[in-house]
Amino acid sequence: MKRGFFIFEPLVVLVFIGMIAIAAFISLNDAGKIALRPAGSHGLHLLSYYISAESDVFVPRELQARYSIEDAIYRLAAGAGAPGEGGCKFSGMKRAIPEIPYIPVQPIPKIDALRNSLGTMIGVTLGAPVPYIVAVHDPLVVVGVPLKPERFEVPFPPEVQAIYDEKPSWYEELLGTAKYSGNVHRLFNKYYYPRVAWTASYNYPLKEIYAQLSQGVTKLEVCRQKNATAALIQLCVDDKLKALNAETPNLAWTLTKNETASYKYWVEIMHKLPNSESYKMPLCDNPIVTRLLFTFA
Amino acid sequence: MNKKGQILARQLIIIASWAVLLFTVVLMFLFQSFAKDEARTSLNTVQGSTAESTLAAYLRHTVVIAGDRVPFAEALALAVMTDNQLLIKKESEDFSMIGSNILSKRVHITADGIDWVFGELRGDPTFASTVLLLPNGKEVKVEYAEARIS
Repeated sequence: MKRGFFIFEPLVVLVFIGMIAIAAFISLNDAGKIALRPAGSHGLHLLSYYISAESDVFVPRELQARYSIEDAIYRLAAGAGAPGEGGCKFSGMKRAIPEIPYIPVQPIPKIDALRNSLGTMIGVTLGAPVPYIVAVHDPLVVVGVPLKPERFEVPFPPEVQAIYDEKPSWYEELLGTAKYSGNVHRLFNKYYYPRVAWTASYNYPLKEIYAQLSQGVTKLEVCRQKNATAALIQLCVDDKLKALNAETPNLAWTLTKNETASYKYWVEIMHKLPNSESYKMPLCDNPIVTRLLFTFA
Repeated sequence: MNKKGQILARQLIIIASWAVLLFTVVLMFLFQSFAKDEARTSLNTVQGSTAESTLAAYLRHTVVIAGDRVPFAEALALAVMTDNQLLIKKESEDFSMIGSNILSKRVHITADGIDWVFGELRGDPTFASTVLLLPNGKEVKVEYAEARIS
């Protein structure tokens, strides 16, 4: 053997013995209690606090979103597809809802524009600490996805917090456990970054209702005849409304007022499910209505 | 020592070095298991209250209101808004998670002018609570306590 062997081989053995000694010292020394915790219990520790975040943060947030959705549906109906007046009259609440005005008839937006309007209204009124992107699907399924992760702090129990509040000993500083860097341990991070989405679904058939509304507006516009008499227009409007009540199972059309002299017709359209009188969102007392003013002059 | 001996010795040293290295690694895991506190926590126990899990499930499970399926938290908000505890009484008393061994449970709901208690408590309870907001911004406090059969 070469002479060098008898120099390096003992050194290597000494290094290995030194590693064993350090490992034993770290794990058996009670004075420092360095947190070299296995990843498994860390994950379970986080999970137990995630469950409490579920009740404290995520459920209340979803509830707020649902309030916004239910209110937005009423305002969308009042605006005939655009953000309008009114809103949900929440049960038991003394909330003054403005009377829904009769708006001059206008083209009903297509479903994509409707979804965008609804999503925008909900996003604006949500008031959540994180910005959400809101997606609307059929029949009415609204999904809110957070645009960025949110930092949650895991509250340590007092006995665990006490370990981190200790003054480091000289060997802990030597080993550089980063225990005291902003109270974030390199192996036991007390912050986690979830992105929790919410979903709300209702029986309200958004696409069908506005398709039928558009169909009805087009049908009634047929009554706009040049040089037609008031009586003829009245006859036309009555006839079309009767037909629409038969053809649009999700809408109930009612002529509430008319002024034949000025060719004005006030039509109230109630949103409903087939074979029902009206549809209300779960928390609301008022029915969903659209009010249009047709002027055939 | 002859050449064959040198080769054998070298092989022996290499093998022995690996053996020592692996032995060191094994010893590290062995010594780590002797450490106290968090490292000794068994991997199948969860810290924190089991009542928190039940409360989360209680608020999340769905019920039907006027034909729409809604989370129970919303039904609870409606009950508070209309001051109608019958709306949620049966659901609160009957709710339990499948497979859970709950001996007794109690739900205490407090809000502006409202103080409802469903169920009764006996045994060694664990607690959980949360605060929900109504559409008018007022708070509803839900306190849940349960005792399990151990």
